[in-house]
Amino acid sequence: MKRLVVPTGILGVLIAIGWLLRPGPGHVPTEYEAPSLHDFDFHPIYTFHFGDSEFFDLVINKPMLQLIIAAIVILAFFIPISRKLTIIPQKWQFGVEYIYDFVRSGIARTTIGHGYEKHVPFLMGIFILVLMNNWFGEFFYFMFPTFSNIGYTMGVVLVVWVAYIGAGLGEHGLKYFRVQLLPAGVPLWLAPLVMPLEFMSAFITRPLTLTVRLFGNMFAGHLGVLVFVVGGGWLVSESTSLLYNVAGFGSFALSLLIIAIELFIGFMQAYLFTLLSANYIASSVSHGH
Amino acid sequence: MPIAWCPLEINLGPLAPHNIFEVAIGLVTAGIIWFGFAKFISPGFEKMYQERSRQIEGGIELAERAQAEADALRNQYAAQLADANGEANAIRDQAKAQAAAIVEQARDQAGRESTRMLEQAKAQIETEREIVSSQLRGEVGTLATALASKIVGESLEDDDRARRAIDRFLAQLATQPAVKG
Repeated sequence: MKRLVVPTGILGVLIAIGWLLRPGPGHVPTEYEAPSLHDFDFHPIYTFHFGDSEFFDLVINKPMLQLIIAAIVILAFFIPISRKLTIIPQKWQFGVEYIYDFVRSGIARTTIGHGYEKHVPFLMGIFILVLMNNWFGEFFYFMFPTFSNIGYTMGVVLVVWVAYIGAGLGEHGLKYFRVQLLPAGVPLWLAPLVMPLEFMSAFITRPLTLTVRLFGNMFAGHLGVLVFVVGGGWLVSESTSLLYNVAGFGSFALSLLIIAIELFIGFMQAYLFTLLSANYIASSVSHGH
Repeated sequence: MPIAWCPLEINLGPLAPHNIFEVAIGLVTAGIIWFGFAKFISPGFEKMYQERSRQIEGGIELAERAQAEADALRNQYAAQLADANGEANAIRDQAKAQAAAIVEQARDQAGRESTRMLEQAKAQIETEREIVSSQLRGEVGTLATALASKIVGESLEDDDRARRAIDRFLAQLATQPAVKG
């Protein structure tokens, strides 16, 4: 009996979340509606109003719950495991170590080099968070990539921004801004030209491109999946022509391929996001190049 | 999706967050994950990696120590072997030298012995010769006296005179170099 308690509890929680995430009444279209921006705008489970504008509403909806669930799952998965690690790994530990080492050696050490250890927690956390939320786009039950809502992407990128500026300040103190804005070897008379450019590139373009890259990939990918799945669904249930139904099945079949590609892109983007973050940290902590 | 708050009235479409709390929740979640990894998860992993590399290094060190010990032992054996060889050579050389010395000694002794024997023989011969010569002298004297008395007659039978005459004769004989023998 005891063995049944945990699975039943998890199932109950999932059902409760599923009920919370149910589409609102306005989300059941009666005629074909091409996938659009509305598919990224979720029915609020609850809305807290903090101002006159919609912009200051705290809307609890599916993407937000996804992000929180991801955080809980990640911490609940890794924290117990990090205490049970043994020097000679057991079977399960190989897998976890593979993921951890992928970021630790594959990204942090090769990019940052000396002193990379203290940046591993940040990179590992960012990688696993972005990866999981990207894969939510193809994961049953969730089927939505959290970062196709740009707000969440911005939030995570702000953390990256803080992290690499913080790493620079930690390494060089206030001299970091001089190191970053005026690279070693640039003649002083070029400073008026170089410094604004470096400022733009280091503190504005980096977070902007990080945000738009991740968001754009997830947004476009999810839209692509929707086109095939929603369109296929309508075609299959269309009764005017058999050809439509056949095309609908074709569309479903193709959607599997698209989803497979999306899984790859989700991983790719998480990897790229982490790699670029590591790159920015490396450029912050580097001593004269 | 009109954005009422935007002062420039530009519709950014999906590039604008729905509300500020999306950004805030994203930031807080990422921050919590970062904190969780920094505080709870990575120390465990780093400790494990450190311990592992320490053990591997320990193993390597142990192997190196064993190797060094083996090398030392081998060197010791080689040195001992070299010593033994040297000793054997030394003993052989010594034995040779000893043998040579013994032979030399024996030769010396034999030489001395033979010299001694020769001298002894010579001395004996000399003694015997002297004895024979003195006997002979007496006998020859007696014979000669007897012969002379037979020839000259009884007048010469006075012993004292006869001996003196014989002695004189023999001394004369001894001084003659040609008769030496």
